[in-house]
Amino acid sequence: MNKGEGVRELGKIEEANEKAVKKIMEAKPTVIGIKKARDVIPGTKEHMLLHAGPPITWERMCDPQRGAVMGAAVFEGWVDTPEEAAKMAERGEIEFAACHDHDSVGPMAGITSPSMSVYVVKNEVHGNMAYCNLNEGLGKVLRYGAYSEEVLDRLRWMESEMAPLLAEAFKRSGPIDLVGIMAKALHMGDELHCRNTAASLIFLKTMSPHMVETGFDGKIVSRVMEFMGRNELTFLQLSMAASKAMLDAGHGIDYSTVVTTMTRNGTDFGIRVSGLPGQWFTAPAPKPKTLFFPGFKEGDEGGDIGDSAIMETMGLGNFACICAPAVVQVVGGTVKDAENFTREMREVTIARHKAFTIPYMNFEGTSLGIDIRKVVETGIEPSINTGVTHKKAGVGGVGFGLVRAPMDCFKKALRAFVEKYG
Amino acid sequence: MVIRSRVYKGEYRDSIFLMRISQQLGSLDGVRQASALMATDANKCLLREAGTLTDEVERAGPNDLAIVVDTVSPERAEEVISKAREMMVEAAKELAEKVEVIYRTLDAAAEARPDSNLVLVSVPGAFAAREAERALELGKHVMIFSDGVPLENEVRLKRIGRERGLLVMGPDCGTSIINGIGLGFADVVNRGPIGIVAAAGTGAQAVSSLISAGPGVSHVIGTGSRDLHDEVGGITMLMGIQYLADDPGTQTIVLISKPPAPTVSKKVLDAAKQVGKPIVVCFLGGDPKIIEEAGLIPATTLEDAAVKAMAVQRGEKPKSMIFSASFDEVRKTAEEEYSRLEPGQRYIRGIYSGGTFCNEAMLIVRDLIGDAYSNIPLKPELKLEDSNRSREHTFVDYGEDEFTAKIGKPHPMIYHELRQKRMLAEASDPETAVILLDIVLGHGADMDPAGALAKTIIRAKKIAEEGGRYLSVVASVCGTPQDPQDLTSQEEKLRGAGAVVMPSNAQAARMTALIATRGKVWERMVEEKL
Amino acid sequence: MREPARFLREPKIINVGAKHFYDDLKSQGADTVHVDWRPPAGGDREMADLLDKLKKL
Repeated sequence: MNKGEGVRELGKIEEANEKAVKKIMEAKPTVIGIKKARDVIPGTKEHMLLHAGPPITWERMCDPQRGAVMGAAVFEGWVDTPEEAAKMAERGEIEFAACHDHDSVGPMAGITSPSMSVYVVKNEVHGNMAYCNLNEGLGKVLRYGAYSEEVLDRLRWMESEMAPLLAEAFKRSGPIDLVGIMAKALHMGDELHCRNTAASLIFLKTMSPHMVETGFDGKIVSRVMEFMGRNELTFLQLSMAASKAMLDAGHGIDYSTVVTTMTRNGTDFGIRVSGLPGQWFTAPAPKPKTLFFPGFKEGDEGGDIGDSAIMETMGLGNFACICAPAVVQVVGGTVKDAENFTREMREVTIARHKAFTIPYMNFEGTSLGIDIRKVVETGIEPSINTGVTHKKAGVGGVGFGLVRAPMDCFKKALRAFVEKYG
Repeated sequence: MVIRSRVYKGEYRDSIFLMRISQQLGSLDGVRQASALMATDANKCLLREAGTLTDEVERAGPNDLAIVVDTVSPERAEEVISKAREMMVEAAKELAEKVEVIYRTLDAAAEARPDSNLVLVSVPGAFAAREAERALELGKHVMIFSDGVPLENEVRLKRIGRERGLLVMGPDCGTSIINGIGLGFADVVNRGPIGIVAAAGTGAQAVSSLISAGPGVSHVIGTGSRDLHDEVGGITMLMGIQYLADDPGTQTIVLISKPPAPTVSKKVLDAAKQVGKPIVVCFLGGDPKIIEEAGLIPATTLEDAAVKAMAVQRGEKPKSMIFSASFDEVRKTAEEEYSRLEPGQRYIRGIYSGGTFCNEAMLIVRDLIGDAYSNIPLKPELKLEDSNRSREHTFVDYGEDEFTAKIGKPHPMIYHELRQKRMLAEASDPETAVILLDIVLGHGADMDPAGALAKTIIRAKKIAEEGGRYLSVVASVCGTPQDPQDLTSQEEKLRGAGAVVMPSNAQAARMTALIATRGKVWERMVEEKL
Repeated sequence: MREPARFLREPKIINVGAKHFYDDLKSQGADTVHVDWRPPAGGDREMADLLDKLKKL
């Protein structure tokens, strides 16, 4: 008597969304080299800085992001001191643009200046590119808004030794498949946002023979390998660039309600939606619920910041936090908490990834394709594992935290969507 | 007393949960009244009437959770509010820890459990149709416990269901038992060959409980209270009959409803005729002739339906039964009660939690004595002007909207306060001869209803005694010994409080008629088998 | 007689709404999961209307 499964014709939205997630899943991001930002990132110019989050002006920019701007201006040699940099920005002599609008992503403050080296990631299936700068480690670093000499010295060293070595090594390694590394790392305890430990080691292992082969001075090779090996977030930039390359493949599909970007600049939280290209939907950036590094306390944390929420947009990070038992502290302390987050995020997504799987959940695929309709309907705000900056410029990172994407972004997007297609 | 409130924006909790929290808070020291509720207009109205509506709660919306307390001091108020919060956090934690997986939407649960085949919907009425429709789209049968679903939605859902071969039980379906699993309010019954399709939840509970003591129950399919209305056309009952016809575990079928619309009645009886299994039909208050003409077995009361179904199942000739005990014993009990009444005590006051029981009792009393007033009257002119004030013989159904949905109180099977108050009011009325009660056990019901009502029975009798009168109380308990509350011990508690406990609601109604008329209706009762 | 319905032989139940019913089902040993239901769009009428509009696309 029971005819079983309800057969229902797919609506235009369902069709478009299927197409979007199919393209995201088909995409094959590979890292093919390292270049100066000015040489590869489209639309960059002198005295222009890319930043994390939706577009923002100097006036509205949060303190840590301003700190990174000041550090970058000195690093570029536009000015001699951070104070002069601030004045330069106030005079409007620095042009700002969102990384996301330039095929790029930048963690935390995300400040990317013309002479910084960036990973070049190519989606071999659809041909689109993505770029991301190199990871500096934790603590007092530019991306967390610190700009002291120590910070700038590290950046200079990265440009003088690390980037040239890696660039040569990439010539020998050829394109490196990033999905493969990420899929493996998910089975090795990474969620690929707050924890990239396994992925970083796989990447280092992959690059090591090629680095040695370059014929660079052994001391340089040793220093770079030591730096990359010590920094558990080395691979974060590649996780992010890979995710950006995959998600961009699914962007700009008419009628699709799939979210292709979630990002923050410390002042605003912004999202982009596949079927609404060219538009940002923003709301005030919330403050993360933070687990502080020793020496910091509640009240020190700045507003939510960074393009790294691209990981959650991709269905990783918090969405896959059950993969990373070592960081469950961030989501509440127990493995059950992590599982509940992972399960909850399944409610706002429309597909399961075929390559990224979750051992703890019988190798079910990770969630994929946040649907603005589902977010609004269920009232479930996507959750994000994130690094947390000090609220003041110059201090650096204060811990890791948990944050929810503000509902208002999704409501605004839904309004715009109905206006365009309804 | 000090009134304090706290509002939690955008936090939703189900009403049964909130009522439990309210009850627990209310029992704390130094608390006069405590409510945890969603700040809906209806709830705000309730608070306004109680004089505990604060500005903060007034400003809150239907998606905001409010806690309102009336306590001895501001300090105590704060303590009670934080206690409430603690209880809620604790419950949320328990949910996170104990429930295997938390799903937030039907879609997610269905994705994780693709082989699920039945969805039980108990969300607020305004949203129930939406969830039910989704369940049907997913190819699942559905039981809608919620009431307050517009009739046109019921018609639409049932038509979709019929087209897809999916059963839509409800809306307002209180009881179903599928393969021994009780959904909603259901008793723990012995399995057996008798299947039931019922448009009345308590009716289904009564018949299944009685049959549990005999051959046992295969399934109970609830249809919802409006299924046999003209607009719906009995879609669920017709499908239910077909399911039981096809079910090899069902040998005898019982149909329970108020008298359906004539066209629907014909459809149902025509379908029942085709089944080829014995079918007992109880259209409470309807004409038995059309049932007989259809070659089916008519029953006048719920108990009659159970007794006849069990007889047919055993291969015996179905016959009526007025009392299970010997006539002598029954007469003796009645005499003991009415001999102590004052001449002015003339009326029966039925205070009911089950609408079907209330209706059944009125039918019995009508045939034996005459008209009774009610909030669910048998004739429009017998409608009580004010449901809170009795007039001559009066029967009040506390399960009606006016006592539940409209004032934000849970069903009287869970919550006794309103019935308790009414019992005490009736006890003070010198015209009250006998109070008639129903008590419903099973899953979903309160854990100790007899315990709660027994205390009130004792107080009621005391009030009458202080007025120089004896008050008779007659009750029946619907349930089984396997129910979590245990039928036997619940009956004992009522007897211990001085109530006459009868084995069914019909017998209890007859007993009150005997008491109120000082035995005058005995002859008619026995001769005409009323 | 037709093939008897599967849900009558082997009910697998999704409980949407009152947690109390889920607890009852569990205590009876039923195969069931619970949906911790909330009003759609948190009860935001405007949003619920927009969502309904999209359903028709």
